[in-house]
Amino acid sequence: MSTSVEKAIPLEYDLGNMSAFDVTPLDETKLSSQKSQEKEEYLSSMARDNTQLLVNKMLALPKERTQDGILLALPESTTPLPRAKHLPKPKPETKWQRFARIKGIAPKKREGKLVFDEASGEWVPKWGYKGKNKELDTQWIVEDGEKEKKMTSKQVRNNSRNIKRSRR
Amino acid sequence: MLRQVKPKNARTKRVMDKREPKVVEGAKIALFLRGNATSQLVVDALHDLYALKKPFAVNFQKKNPILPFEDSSSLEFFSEKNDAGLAVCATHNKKRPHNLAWIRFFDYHVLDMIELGIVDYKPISSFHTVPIVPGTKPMMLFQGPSFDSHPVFRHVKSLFLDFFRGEPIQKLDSAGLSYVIVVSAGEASDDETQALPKVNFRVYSTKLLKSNTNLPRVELEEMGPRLDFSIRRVQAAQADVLGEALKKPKTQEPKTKKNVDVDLVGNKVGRVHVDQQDLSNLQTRKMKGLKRSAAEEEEEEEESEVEDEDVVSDVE
Repeated sequence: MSTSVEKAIPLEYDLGNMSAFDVTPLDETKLSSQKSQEKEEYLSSMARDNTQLLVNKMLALPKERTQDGILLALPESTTPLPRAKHLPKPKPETKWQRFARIKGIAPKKREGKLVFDEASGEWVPKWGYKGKNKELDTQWIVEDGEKEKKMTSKQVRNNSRNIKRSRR
Repeated sequence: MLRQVKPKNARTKRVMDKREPKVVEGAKIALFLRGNATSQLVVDALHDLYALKKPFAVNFQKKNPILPFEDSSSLEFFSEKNDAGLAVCATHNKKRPHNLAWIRFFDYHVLDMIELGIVDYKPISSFHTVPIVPGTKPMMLFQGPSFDSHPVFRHVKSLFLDFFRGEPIQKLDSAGLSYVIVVSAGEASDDETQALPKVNFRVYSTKLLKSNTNLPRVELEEMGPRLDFSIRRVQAAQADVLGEALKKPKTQEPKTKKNVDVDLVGNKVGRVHVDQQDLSNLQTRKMKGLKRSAAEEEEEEEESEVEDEDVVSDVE
């Protein structure tokens, strides 16, 4: 079963639109034949050859292997086709957009709930059910001094003051 | 032009934003309509074309008093209401039997139109193959020299490409090479008195079989519809409107600076072009390098003396 096709004039391709253009003249006697079967067989054999060439070209495109299958990276289309609507006119910047651009404020990216846990090598939720923030509460072995919460300076000040007062 | 709707809630605002012109457009929506009188054949053909164009298609069931080539105002109204970039109108009368008028719009105004009469038709239902998943992008083939040379056939090629190409995608699943639309036409002579050759429209589903090479062997099975068109009236697009429609958005490529290069060692080398200087107006008093030092002046005097002596000796 051969996959190569001989062509006198090579086809022109527009892979972005998954199309090919064949300029070789068609056999007029077969096209205008009264017997529809002869005409259809001629057309379908021509189509098969050209489709083979097109498929060969398509499968030669850079591939990306994913879980769902093999993805082909399609290039930009080369045939100029008219748009349905005009090109959008550039809109004037809003006050916030101008401020953000000058200050260099980039839009905040949503981190999401999951965080990568190095120890287990899995993505665990940061908070909530089975959250990583509750890890220390449920651990059965704790290092000395790890579970204790560090006091802020304000708390330290108040604590020492309270101890002094209670001693009085 | 329809009245401008001001969105009063978020939902209507979303609908309005969907219809806004975008830099990269999606698939064009096609409107399938019927004229004042239709035949069963042309309606069936319309239905098959609708099946190929789904889901980017709107199918109207009722008849409308529309004459595309005479008055395009109601077509433009439909285009605006349904946000359609394409329309196919089916009509049937004694003069033009089983007629399909294919219209393209730009900014909801008619861009160009072509009338194709159905000479031969075989519906999808007569072919016993698995129907395609709606929304799949088809492969397209244009066979025949006239699609490159003759203006009417170039219009047909542009129309069919635009109509059936679907959404622009960057990555295609290799299983997506499922069907191919083949449009063929014989040679069109430049002689205007001769009839234009018929356009043969075929749709095949592809089967990729194992072969002895890395590439699969392609086998085609006709899946329908099978249409043979004869070309009737054509209304080409006006040059300025077409030019506007073909405009491409400005791509943001990094502009390579001219006259700046990096040489072999890695030094950035540039050429600076300066206008011609008017040397008579140069301020020489402020240029230290041009000042004659005392030693230089002595040298000049000595040189001139030596020269004089030589001259005297020659004469003698």
